[in-house]
Amino acid sequence: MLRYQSTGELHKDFHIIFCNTLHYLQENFGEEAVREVLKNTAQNVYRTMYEKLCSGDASELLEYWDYYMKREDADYLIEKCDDEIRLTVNSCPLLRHFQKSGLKPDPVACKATAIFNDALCENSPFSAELEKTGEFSCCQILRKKVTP
Amino acid sequence: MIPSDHFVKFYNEVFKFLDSRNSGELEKYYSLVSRNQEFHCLELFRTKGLQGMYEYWEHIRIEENCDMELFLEPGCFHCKMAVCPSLSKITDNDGGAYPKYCDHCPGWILPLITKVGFFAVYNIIDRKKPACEFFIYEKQTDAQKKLAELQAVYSKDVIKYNF
Repeated sequence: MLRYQSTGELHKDFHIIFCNTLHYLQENFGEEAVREVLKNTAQNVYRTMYEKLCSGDASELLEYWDYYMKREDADYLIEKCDDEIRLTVNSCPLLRHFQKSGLKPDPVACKATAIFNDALCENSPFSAELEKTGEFSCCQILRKKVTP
Repeated sequence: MIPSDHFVKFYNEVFKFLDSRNSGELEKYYSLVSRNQEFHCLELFRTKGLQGMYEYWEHIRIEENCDMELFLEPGCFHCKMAVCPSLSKITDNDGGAYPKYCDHCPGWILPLITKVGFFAVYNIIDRKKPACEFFIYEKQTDAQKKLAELQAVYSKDVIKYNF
């Protein structure tokens, strides 16, 4: 069950201030500040999703990806198999909004997603990987760690 | 990706982080937000004045799903938020609300209004309730009158102004 479900219109300009804020934190407080804020967001705001992942259950994350990618009108594919889940984003709504606003797509958003996914996987049986596959595309994978 | 719907929950975590650092860090960040908003508002406010402000917040009313009323009268633009979607999301949040979350709004709005030469009075009303209002005037004397009126009723801590 998804903890937060939003309805109504979208204010996509929030994507721009999100990226500007990440740059601000990086420039004024360093990389650790960016990691700390994103970690607190992943593990506290999304507590139910994080706790499920810690117990090996990725169901809420899958639901979150599907719900919000759909809401943001993304071109995406979610795949699930025994030992991994995969989100393929063919056209990222955040980066596309930069383009639509006449701005250069900001790769800090991709870095933030990688940090956010890593924080979600901390203390869980999953490890996260983000591969940029193009200017507006990426593949995000959560893979079950191999236990010896 | 943090969805645009959840940006405010991230924002709330940024405020907590900055508040845990040196005093004045939140105000510096609000200045960044204000400069960011210039991209969306400055030209509109400069060219159309109060009418431009009405148009901007009408766009926000729709996009951010706000329950708010906008009033445009000669010399005054008044925005009355009945249910703020932003604070509502912060109170429905496992991360917990930053107690002064509401302060970011006057924090970015007032410097922008100063920059375009108008006079603003912002009434947060109560930081625990998702309702607030602000008034923007062409004339400082009108803004001063509104300020005195609000200060007679509300705590000084919830009234912000730019003159």
